[in-house]
Amino acid sequence: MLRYIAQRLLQLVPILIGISVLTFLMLHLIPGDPVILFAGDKPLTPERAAEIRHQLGLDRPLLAQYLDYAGHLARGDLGRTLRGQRPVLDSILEVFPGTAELTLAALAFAVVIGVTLGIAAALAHGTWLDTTAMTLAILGVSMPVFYSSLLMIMLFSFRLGWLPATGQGGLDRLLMPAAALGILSSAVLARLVRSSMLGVLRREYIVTARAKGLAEHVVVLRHALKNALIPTITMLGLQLGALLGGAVVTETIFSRPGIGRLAVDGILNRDVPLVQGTILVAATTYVVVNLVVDVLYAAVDPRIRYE
Amino acid sequence: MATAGPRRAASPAHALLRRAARSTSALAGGALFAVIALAAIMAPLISPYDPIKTNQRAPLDAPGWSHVMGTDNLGRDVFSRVLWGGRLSLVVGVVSVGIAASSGVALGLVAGYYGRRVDTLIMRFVDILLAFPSILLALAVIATLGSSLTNLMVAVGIAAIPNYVRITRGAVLSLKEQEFVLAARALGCGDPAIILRHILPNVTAPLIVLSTLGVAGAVITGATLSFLGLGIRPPTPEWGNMLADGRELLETAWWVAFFPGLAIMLAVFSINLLGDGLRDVLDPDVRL
Repeated sequence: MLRYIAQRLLQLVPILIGISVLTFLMLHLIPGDPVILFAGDKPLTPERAAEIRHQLGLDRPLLAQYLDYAGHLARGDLGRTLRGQRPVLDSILEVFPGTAELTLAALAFAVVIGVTLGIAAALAHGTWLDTTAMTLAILGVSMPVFYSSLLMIMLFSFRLGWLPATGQGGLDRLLMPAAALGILSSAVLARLVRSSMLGVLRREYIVTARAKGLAEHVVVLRHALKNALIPTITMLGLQLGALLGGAVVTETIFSRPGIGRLAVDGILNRDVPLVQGTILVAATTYVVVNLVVDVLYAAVDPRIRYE
Repeated sequence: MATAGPRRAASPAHALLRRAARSTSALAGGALFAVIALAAIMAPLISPYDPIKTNQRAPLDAPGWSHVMGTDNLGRDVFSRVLWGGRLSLVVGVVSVGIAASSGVALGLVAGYYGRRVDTLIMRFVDILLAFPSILLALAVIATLGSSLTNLMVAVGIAAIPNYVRITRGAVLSLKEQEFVLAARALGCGDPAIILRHILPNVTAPLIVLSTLGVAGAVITGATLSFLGLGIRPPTPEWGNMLADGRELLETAWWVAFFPGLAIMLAVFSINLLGDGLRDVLDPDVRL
């Protein structure tokens, strides 16, 4: 197991380097002269442009610039925002807990609803319940996060007045954003769990369990479910990426501070260092979480470690 | 005595359509999508009002006989804007998938067929792309290139490339040691001919499924970016930016956001139904 973890950690290194290269290149692929972005409100004379270029190291070879950038990253320095000259890392750390809270709540919603729906559909395979559940799942997968968010605000905030539409803090302000964000993932999970459960229920060990006279709920919960849920673990890691992406929208609609909203504001204000920093942190978080999920998967299914 | 002559083999497209017609899901999804696409294409002919011209005498009219989906804050007919908006939203979906598929399939074919260093290089590049949640990757591309219709399609397309590379490479790996490929090589076929004439046609089924489902994802991603103000900007009607306009009016004029969102949902639902049906009949092993 330790050897498997070490292998996966080693595989992570080139990915992290690749992420840093792509975020570094963002500044250099911008059409036009990137110096314009850093000029602020002052007029950009050729002398001032050369001075800024020198200060930022943009007059050095690309590889030297990247090594400099990577060195700063290793020291936790993600540069400063163009607006306010604030350390980018501070801006991100301030809002990161909000995104983590929203994403984890959405994941919990997705798991509870998705797994329950998937199991119910599998056990009622071929009946109206199965068809209804899967039609709801396809509808869920077809509903953009921003639409489910707006529909929920219309219903639960404006029509019924049950929940606040914006802000952060407290369960009542978390419920709607988490549900809106989690709907799509719950639909994906429901389809996967149903398909996985149907496959497991056809296996020989289930036939044996039934032949032994075990009660149906024991067959399903003790024998079928844990095997059916194994592929779900990998999907959870992938869904986290979708949730991180969806959080961009949910944070904007529900006016919640978060990394996604920070990235969007950065793009709208052409604050490239801020955008580089937020994308880098989001991608790194995603990759590390998927590593944890892969290790969990290997712990649950020993066959994976030996492949 | 007349005898029946040999039957002509059905063309691949004909065979494909016949197989797809066996799936209720594909038929239902295909029919619904055809209606939506047709309505969007015929928007210039069937749209009752100009989608951009404002009308200060009828702002925020509720749905009724003269405006079936109501009007927005500038008095523009929502139904006309939904029809016209569909043209851009669906084009973004289709063109983005075209970009993703052409780049991804080319990379996948090269990676799978030539293997070794080329394969390692391409797959490491794909792993790095996959390290970014797709909407964040699209955001990064928009942040770099700026927001416009073209850049939106490029951004959404780039974010979708990895799936095409993986599916194509996987199929090529399983096909390249088969007898028909070995026979082609023995007969002196060059690598490009083997890849394009012998291997690629056999990868078609999973690619059709992936592309169909990919259009659904691309429509959502494109609309999301426009919703955030990073894609197609008002006053050009597009489903995502229409929802953004309607966001401020949820309490007083729910129809401004409701109908564009419903249009996105129905379009994506129909494409997902079609894609699911195609997967069931063409390639049940595709895991996306």
